[in-house]
Amino acid sequence: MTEAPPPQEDAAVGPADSEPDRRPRRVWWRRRARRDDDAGPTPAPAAGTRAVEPVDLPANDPLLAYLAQARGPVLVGDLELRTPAVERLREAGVRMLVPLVANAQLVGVVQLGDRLSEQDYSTADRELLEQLAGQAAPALRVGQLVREQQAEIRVRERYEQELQVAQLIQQRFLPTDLPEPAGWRIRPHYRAAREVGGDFYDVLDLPGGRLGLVIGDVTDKGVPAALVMASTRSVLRAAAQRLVDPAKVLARVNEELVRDIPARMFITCLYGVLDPATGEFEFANAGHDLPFVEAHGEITEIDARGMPLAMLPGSIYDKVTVQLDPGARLLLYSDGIAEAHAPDGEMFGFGRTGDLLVDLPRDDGAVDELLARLSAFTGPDWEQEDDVTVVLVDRSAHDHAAVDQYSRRVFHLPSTEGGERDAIRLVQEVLADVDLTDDRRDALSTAVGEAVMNAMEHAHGHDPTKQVEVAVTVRPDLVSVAITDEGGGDALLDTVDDPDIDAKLRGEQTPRGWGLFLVRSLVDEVHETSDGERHTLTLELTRDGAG
Amino acid sequence: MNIDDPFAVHVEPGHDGARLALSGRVDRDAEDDLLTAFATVAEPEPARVVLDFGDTTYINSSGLAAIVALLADAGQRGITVAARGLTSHYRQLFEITRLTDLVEVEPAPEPGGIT
Repeated sequence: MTEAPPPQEDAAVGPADSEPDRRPRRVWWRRRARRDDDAGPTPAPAAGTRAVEPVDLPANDPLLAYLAQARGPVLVGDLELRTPAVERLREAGVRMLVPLVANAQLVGVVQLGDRLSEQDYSTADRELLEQLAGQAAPALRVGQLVREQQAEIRVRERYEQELQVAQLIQQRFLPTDLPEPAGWRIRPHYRAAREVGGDFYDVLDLPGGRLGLVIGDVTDKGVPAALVMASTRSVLRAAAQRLVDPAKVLARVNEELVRDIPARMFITCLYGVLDPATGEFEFANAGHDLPFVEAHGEITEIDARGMPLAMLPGSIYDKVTVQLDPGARLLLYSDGIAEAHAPDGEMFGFGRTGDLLVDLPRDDGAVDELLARLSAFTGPDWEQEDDVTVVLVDRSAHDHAAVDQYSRRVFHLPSTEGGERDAIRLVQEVLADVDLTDDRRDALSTAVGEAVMNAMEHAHGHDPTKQVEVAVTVRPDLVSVAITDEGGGDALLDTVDDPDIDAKLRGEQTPRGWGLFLVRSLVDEVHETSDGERHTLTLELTRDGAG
Repeated sequence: MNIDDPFAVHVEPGHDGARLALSGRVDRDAEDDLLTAFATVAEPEPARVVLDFGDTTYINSSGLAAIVALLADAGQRGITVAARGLTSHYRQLFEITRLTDLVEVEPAPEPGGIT
């Protein structure tokens, strides 16, 4: 016998791979070959028939449809159908087919050879076979259903495992320890949909005390989306440290991802740089939902355009600057919010998303309140269709003490011999009232002098028409000085070996070459960024008694 | 005193070696004068020469390079070099660059930074 494939399957019934039963006069009773099947007991053959090799009946052969409708056993010789299966049955010497039908579905076919007596099958034989089929078919169907259920359970288990993997990847890559610049509150929230989507957010420490804010959404769900999200995050982190301009960062990330990400997958992403000292938020947008800013009760959607990441090579991005004054708030979010639905099918929409900022409390409960407002719209039974991600940035209106602790001064100096001493003087003036020890202040001054001297001499060739920018930022926890030249932007720090005084004394190295070594040695952190034109070294010193 | 004061070196012969009193900024402009002054006091090949940094207002990487060149010369002549009057910041520069391995650093003076 061959089991008929379930009606919804179109797979051919394959030959069984067990040894053929060599006992004489057997009905072949074969099960459909399944990798994970227990072959089970071989039912007793019908007595008095000649053994035949069973023939596999492809699911799409019209014979199966015919047998499903047939009333009782069918003699192969009487068939008017001329199909490949019928031909093979004839060639194999199959004389009689007994359809096994349960609930109007053909679940198997018993194939019989000639009677041993070489007489035709009698009416009594046929009645007996029909009775047998009537009892065997439901039992066979039950067996099939059990196997199908087991297969479904295995599929479901695999699916659950995949979900867990996706969730793990997602959680692993979302930051837990966020920077907290004084006077600012940055509160993210991420809630995965059941089929984990590809939402992500990130907050990066950038040179000069600035913060990189990222929110993004990968088209797709589950493990593929989580993997693309993880790789986007890594590429973006690397680009953000090398480049400053958010539009250039996204362009670079796009170029890297467009090569690696499978077609039809792309990422919407907003990346911005927040300067806590000034409240300036400079961002670029790769097809992500536009951010909202709330200031003095007024809500503004900030437009910035650009293609999603990994969609097209050569994409360029708008750069937009928003000023976040004390009391202002910025909302970055994913489409899981705007596309949430009320029970009657109405979409939450962008207007309501912006309105979430109205009268939002100014404490750590703000995000909870925002989500509660969303819940009030969707109702308690909402089955979240997509990930919901929010990054709420809140600049304190009242913490003037904190605001006063920030300052930034920017100087532009012509590139002259000895011009670095002007930079040292200016930095010392700015830092005169900052609580640094004399040694720390001197160390920073000397490092600034070396970096400026390097820029004026090597990047600008002491051309006084070319200016070196020196930006001094004082934060509650940090002092940073960013030195920017326009000398083409080659990386310096990683290309210069540490000087070796013994080699210098032996005459194997020039006595010179101490500058960048001193820069690196005298301050707590040095960051180097370059966009191919402007090259910046940012020197950082933790303030005494802080961090 | 400020960091723009030009470099000057004053030579004082002594019983057990000469003292070179440096003032102003020890930078690239200082190199020739410093090496010339050292060559002068090194001629009789004293056992020891003291570099006095008490009146220096600024030392940068070019100034350190000049000192390294001086030490190379001293090493060839077998002269010990000592440093006097280093502020704690200049001493830090000497330590970072490992000049302290090659120079006898005399006790620090009263505190004072780059002025």
